[in-house]
Amino acid sequence: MKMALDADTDTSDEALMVLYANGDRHAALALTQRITPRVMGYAYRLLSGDRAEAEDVAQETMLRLWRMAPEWRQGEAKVATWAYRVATNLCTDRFRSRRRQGRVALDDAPDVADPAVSADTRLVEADRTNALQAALAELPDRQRQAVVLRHIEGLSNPEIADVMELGVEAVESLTARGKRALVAILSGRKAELGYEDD
Amino acid sequence: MQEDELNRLLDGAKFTAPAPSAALLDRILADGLDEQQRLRPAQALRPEPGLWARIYGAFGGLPTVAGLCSATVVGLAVGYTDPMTIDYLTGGLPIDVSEAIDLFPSTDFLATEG
Repeated sequence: MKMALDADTDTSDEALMVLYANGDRHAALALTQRITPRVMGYAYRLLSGDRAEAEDVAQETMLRLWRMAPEWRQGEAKVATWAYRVATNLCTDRFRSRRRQGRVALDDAPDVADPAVSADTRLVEADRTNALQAALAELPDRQRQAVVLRHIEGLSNPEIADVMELGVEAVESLTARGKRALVAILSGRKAELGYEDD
Repeated sequence: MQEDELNRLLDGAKFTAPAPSAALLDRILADGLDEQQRLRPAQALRPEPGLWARIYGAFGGLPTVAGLCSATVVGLAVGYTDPMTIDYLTGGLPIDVSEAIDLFPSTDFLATEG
């Protein structure tokens, strides 16, 4: 069946919110397809690669999005920025809860398999991905959020400032300190990560 | 490790997050449609008003229609009733309704009319 609106339509996220609030079912589908993958990927990074928890965060974030749609005003905020902000808060709560329970560890990071690459390369990639996840988990919350939003999610500094409700300079500082900390954490595992062979 | 190596690691990480499962997307869409239905029950269930209801509304609703009916009844009563009966009915009032009250005793409106 051909839908009037889908993830590839030119209609902006903000316009889709208004359409959704006015009862357009296709707008619900388009927003689901557009926003969920971004929120899910972001939550997955913040939660040390825990897929089940990332799915919970994505579903809760989208539920809050649906509920606030009637009050959405075009031009006041970007939908994706708002969703990242909600997901950030949900992840922070969950991550702190896990830290209190001592559940954050290197082994939490899952293996990621890509069938298009050789077994050796896949092992190296998986090691690197796991090491990065573990290193990110060691960062303070705000540094981890800033680094993930800037360097993995690809947001601009002003967009990150909106998400984190900070000034742009504070975001730049958090990102720089986060990256320095990651270099320090990962330097001890350089040989293990295969960088001496590159 | 150097910063450029970290940058490559972060670039590679852009493609390693899992895509949402079809089941998750289905659940989220179902939530969205449920919430959408919840937002609009009044519009969905409210019947279209009938002709008389729309005429009634056009006149301003209950207070206006009640006033209009009262004025009509009084007007008909005054029109059909013997003047002596009116005098009898208004006889107890503290003012003499048969006399005209001149609010501008020194002005001759007919003389000043253009």
